Amino acid sequence: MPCYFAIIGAKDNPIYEAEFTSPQLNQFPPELKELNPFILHASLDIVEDLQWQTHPQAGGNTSTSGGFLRSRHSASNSNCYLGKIDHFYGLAITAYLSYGNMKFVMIHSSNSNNGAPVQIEDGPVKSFYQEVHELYVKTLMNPFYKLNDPITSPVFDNRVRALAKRYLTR
Amino acid sequence: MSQKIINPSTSVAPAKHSDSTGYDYTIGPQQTLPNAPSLSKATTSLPSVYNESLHASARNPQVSLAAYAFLFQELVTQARNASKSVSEIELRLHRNGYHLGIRLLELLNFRSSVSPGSKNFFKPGNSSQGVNVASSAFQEDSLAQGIANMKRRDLRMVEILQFIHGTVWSYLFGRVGDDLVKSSERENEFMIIDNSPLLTRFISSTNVQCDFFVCGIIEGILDSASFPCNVTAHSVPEQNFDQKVVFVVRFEPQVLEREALRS
Repeated sequence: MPCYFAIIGAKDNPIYEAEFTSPQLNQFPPELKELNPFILHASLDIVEDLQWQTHPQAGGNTSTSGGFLRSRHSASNSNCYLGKIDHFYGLAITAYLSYGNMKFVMIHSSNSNNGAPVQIEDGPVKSFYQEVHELYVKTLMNPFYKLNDPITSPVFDNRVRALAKRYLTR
Repeated sequence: MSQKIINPSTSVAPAKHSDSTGYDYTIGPQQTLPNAPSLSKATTSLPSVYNESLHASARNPQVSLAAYAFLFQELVTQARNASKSVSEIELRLHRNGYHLGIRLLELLNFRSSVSPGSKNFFKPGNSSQGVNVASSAFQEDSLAQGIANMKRRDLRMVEILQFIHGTVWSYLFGRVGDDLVKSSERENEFMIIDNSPLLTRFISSTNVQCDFFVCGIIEGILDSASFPCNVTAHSVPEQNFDQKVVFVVRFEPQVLEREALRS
């Protein structure tokens, strides 16, 4: 499934963005392509609301687990991965927060054109976010990188795309 | 330039090459994934921060105190030579620490998410043989694969202060802080107490408070975790601990407001 991914800084400034598509699969329709940043930024309000939620139900609304399992899930207390937070005409939006409150947001589109809502597999998406988080921490370890600066490293770009290939666009 | 890089749309730097395909808002983000395997070998083989491991035992976690004291002394001297007043020296030290703080927040939290039994765990013996291990683990150096659940983000003032008092203090100074106290007079005031500060152990009888470096670290951590605050250091000599320092953390009112709304 085609995805549009962006890292949003603390001042709501994008510091990295990328689109993951593969030629054999469906792609973003060209007229919607440039709307992606708008759709993504529109969901930031929801991210900021969930950011300070003390009892998050991360992925709880998409998982099929029952009430008992869900309460155990939230007891594990991982509030970095927020799961699916928003949707927009069949597109699904997932989000992840780093410890320095960098927002990792992604738009998922479905493979088919029938407008069916996208099914998010929480497992691979979460793994993708965690791996990108690690790359981001490595970027931050660079003393020449300033907080909230755009990430322009081609190595970072390549690594993220390789991760997207492994986890998302299969 | 065969490799197409997507520049963030806010990128201030103009495209240096006329043939480079930077971000064009009329086109939107361009697809580069099919080209990804054709990534030039030169870029991957170059030493890069992305090839290093974030694991604590990937490198020696201990630093000689003498060398550190020497470095810190140079830092203070440089700040002193560049400043006109005492408060300016303290401000410079504070600023140096701030950049450390924003990095420590991400790094230490990320490290504590990694469970020690994960398959990417480096045995301490391997780190001395360095290069071979690192290069063989080139693709497998990702720690994130072994993480089932990330550590919880700290959302409350007390939680983040305990993180500083515990995790950060033991990372920086090898022991937890001596005390964490809430002010009885002001709601937004907390105190982290260190009876024998490690950094300023060899600094005595001066009117410059060199612990402002640590203040900067604390403020950097709290600021990037969205707890805007003001941190100051006060030395409070006591009978047994004549170098005792109290770090006073004053949160901005909006932090209290948020906590009242979300509790």
